[in-house]
Amino acid sequence: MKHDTLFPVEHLRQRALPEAPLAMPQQVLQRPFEWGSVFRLWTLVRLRRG
Amino acid sequence: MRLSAAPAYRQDRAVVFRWTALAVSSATTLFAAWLFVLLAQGDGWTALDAARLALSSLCVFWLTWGTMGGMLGLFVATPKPVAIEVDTPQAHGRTAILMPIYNEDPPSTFARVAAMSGRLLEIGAHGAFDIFILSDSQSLESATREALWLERLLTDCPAREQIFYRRRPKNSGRKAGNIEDFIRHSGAAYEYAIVLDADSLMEADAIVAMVQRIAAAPQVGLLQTLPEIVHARSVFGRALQFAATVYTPVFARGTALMQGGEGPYWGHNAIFRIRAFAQSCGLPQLHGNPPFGGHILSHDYVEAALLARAGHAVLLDPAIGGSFEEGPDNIMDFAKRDQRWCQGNLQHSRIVMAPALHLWNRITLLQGIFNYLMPPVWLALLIVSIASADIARPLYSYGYYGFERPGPDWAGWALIGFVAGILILPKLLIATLYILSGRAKGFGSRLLVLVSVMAEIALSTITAPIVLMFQVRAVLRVVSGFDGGWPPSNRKDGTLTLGQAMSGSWWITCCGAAGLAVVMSLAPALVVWSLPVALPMILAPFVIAATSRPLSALAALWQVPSETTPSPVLLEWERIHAGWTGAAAALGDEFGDPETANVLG
Repeated sequence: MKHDTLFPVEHLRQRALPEAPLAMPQQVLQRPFEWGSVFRLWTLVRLRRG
Repeated sequence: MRLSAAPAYRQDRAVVFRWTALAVSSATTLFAAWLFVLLAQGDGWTALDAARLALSSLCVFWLTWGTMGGMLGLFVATPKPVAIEVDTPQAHGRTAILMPIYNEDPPSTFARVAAMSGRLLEIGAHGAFDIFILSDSQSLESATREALWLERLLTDCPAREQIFYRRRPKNSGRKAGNIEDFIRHSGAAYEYAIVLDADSLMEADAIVAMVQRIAAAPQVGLLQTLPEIVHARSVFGRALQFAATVYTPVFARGTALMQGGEGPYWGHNAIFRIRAFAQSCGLPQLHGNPPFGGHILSHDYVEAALLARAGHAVLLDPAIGGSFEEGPDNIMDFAKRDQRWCQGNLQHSRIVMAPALHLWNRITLLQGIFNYLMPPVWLALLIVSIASADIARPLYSYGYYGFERPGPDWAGWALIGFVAGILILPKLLIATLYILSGRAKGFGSRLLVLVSVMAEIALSTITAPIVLMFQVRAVLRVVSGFDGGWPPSNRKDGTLTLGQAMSGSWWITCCGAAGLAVVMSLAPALVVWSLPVALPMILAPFVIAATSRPLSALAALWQVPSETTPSPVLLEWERIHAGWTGAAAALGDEFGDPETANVLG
């Protein structure tokens, strides 16, 4: 069962985590597909074949 | 100040080793292919023979490539660590020890925190470390249990000021998201982070050594230790534990030589520089839906590749001892873990072409993908071989492989011996190394090492077809769009009844029986050759149930040093865990609820 409320023993000796934020930029792992790249590849192959 | 050692690696040597491994694997594959052609062309070359040649070449290449790690680890000396003068860990800035948990058993997990905290206190290093239990548990029951056991942990730990607990109401991004959440909130307060799993245990000396080693090598962004499997109880678990203790360090040494500074990260029992990690390892969600899109499941390999892309070295340091984890205790749990890893690794097909990754990291990702694509290749080879034998049957009266075979006898036997050699030789050589170098003492005796190795080879031969079938199913599930998610591991007693084993593996029995029936009707001469694969499959439920049982009668078999001379942190964990869970028996009646009795007792 999921729940988003405080759980019943919140008063126990839990201490807050240190407040020391550190940025974590999202990395690029996938390039969006471009039709232009297909055209460039086709041009390259055509040029190679003379 | 005292002397320690900075991790050493040679990137130029790593490149030489990679080319050597590639050359040897290619040469071996060509040799095996030549033997196969000799064997197959005797009765005329068919399209099925071409398929068998392609599939068997792929299998031989893969086997040899894997074996090369072991060979390098056996025969090539690792670079000597560079002696350095080091300060106490406090001088290097603070280190956060992170233990992400997800619906785990709190007494077992929290006892690990207590044991490590106690050991750090004992050696006077606790001041440099904060321990964070980062809970992603989603059920109210798990959250409540964690809160109760946290109270017990804080009561029992003298260094309680260094122990923190937080729970995320929503586990977005799973484990990687959990770590990222910590870094975004508290990362700037620490120089390094040591990441653990819920079943990880690390000796205090190892924790301190990790900090000192990474601090001494500014170019290193992440240092991965080689965790040793401990606390195995069953036949399957103990064989796995033995194999991991005996073979894995040698293979890991060889792998580390090949990887150089572009090594692996296995997601736990490792240390990283928090700023380097934060700058380079923010993981995006992949386009599309799971299993291939969405959150990255096997995040560790990707994070290692991203650190390398950002110019940081990622090192495997097998020299750091005192790093422990637990393994699955039965084949069903092993298969469950494999399903997760399979989905995670196949998802890497979306990442392997990520911009600016190092070539070796791309190869590592591909290797992970092929780890799971190879079982279907093996199965396809078996099926094609049976089909091929049927087509060839009219060409020769009876018999196969050396009886009335049109191809030369020696070629068939040489091919079989060759493949078996690639599979078994590294294990035998490693056993010989242990026996000759006097390292057999921790395993009982020289004779016991030999017996244990032979028994492990026998057991892995029996279980291999079953594991293969589970892996094939895992791949088929993923490619057909099944999202298995990331279910929590079963870390409790893994003993299975025959009924439980049957409900999870009846389909393997059916496949094995059907396969054998096909062989009997199409190519009776192949029946004997198919039995080593078909029999374990037919008997899968019995094998799974029998190997999940404790090995009390043969306790000496597969003995490992962590049992004969356990590390202090293992003893400390056992003491604390027994103290916490043992009280229930005495106080259970009084409190009614055994768990409450444990926490309060």
